[in-house]
Amino acid sequence: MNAGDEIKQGINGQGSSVPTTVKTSNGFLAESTKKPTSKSSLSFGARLYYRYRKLWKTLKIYLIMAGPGIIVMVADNDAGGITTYTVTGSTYGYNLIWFLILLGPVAYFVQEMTVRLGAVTKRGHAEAIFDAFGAFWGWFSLGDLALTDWLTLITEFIGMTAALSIFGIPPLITVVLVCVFMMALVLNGKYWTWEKIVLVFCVLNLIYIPAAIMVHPDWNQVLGGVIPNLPASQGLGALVFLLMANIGTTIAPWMLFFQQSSVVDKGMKPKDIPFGKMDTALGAVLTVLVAVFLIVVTGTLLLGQPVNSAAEAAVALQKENNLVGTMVAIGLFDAGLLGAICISLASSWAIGEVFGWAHSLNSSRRAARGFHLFYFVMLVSAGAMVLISSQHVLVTVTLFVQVIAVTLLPAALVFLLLLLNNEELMGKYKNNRRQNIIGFSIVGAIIMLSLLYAITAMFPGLLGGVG
Amino acid sequence: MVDRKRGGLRIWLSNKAQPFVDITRKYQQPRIKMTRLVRIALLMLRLYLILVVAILVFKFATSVG
Repeated sequence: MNAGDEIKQGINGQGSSVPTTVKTSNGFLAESTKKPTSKSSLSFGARLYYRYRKLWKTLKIYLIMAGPGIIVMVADNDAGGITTYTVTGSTYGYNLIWFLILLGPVAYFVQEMTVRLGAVTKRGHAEAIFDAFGAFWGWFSLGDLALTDWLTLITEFIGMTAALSIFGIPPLITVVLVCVFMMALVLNGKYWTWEKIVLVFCVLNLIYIPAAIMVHPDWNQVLGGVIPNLPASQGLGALVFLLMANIGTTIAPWMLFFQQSSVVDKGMKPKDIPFGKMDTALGAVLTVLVAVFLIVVTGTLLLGQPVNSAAEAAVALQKENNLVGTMVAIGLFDAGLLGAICISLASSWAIGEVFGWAHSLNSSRRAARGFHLFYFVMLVSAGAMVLISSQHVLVTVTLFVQVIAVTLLPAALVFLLLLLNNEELMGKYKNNRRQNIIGFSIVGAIIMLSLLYAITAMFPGLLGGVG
Repeated sequence: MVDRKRGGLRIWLSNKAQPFVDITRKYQQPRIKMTRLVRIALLMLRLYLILVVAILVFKFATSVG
């Protein structure tokens, strides 16, 4: 068996959690299967080499398994997210870094459940809701998801067109190029190709890290932001609104649907769950890093300046440091593109699952015609909306995205927790007590804050002068 | 002629609606065991959604007014 076969064995879940039993051509691991008798006689160097090989093999299998967790978490920092972080940094400097660090584990706990659910049931989140809770809740979730995703897709196009406008590229060209690229990405007919290309865009999302180093912040002050504090310089209402906006951008309904469907499309099995968890944890670290470093950029150069969007921040940053401003604009485009890729797929997967269409990225164009058509219509209509709508309409869309997402998020989270507690469905992978305590606490807090966020978004003056 | 067109439209609409009807029928009965936790969670969810919709309607009504 060569290395390729070995890796394939890992993908199929037969060797993923027991790399020591995989045979290799050099015979080393074949020897390791006789571990009980031979291990004690091994020298220190041999044991070290054995551990190194074991770790290397685990890493190789992880690299095959990596994808859904990293993609969903990094795409979570979409155009709306980038705007939220720039506003947070320019308004409160480094003071809210601790809050974003806190949101990393929260996002991990929620997303990790979708990995288990997808790997065990081999079903997407939409189909799982229909099956477990019946048609009423199924249609509600699917309709709300499709609407929220379409509106969010519009905000991604707003971000991408604004970012490329900084470089003099007209919105029409941006929309057409993005639509063509995204269609080509899905029509290539290979999940693996799609995933690897998207992972390249995830790496580009880390552009904010060198940007933060280039602005030469006072790192002692940055570290001070890790200590929890609530700066009330702009009033309590503004602070609460921004905290909730950060939560809203960290945990979104489409993320649950996307990662579960992605896990299913990738063909992950219960044995691969530890790798899925690792992937999600790494993604959570990356998403927090991006958010924190962007806050460092805007907190250093734009503190106290009125900033309403990431594109506006990029232009203001270019005046302070041209290269950093350019990097933020590139990062904004990348964030919008990643968000658009994931959000449009989340809906298309969900619709495909429920309607029984072929909906895998591995499906041929002929077999997955309905899936591709829905994806295409969603993409083009969202892009067209950005081109034909007035500024007023686009601002209203941005507001309604938040409100409609709030109606879906608690439902999706509650369904997720109930499904994860169903022994018949999950078997030994169901939530244990510790996971339930954490899960229900997170869901309870998110529901309360989401509701407060929706109310504040609709009635800006309610908490004292947000706006 | 008009009747034939109407009939055609009705058949076309009915064909288009058929998948929705089939899916609704297929998932008519929830498969999850209705434990106390599930019942309470679904009830709370209904109340939450009614509250959100009420807020939306209120906002719309006051905006128009």
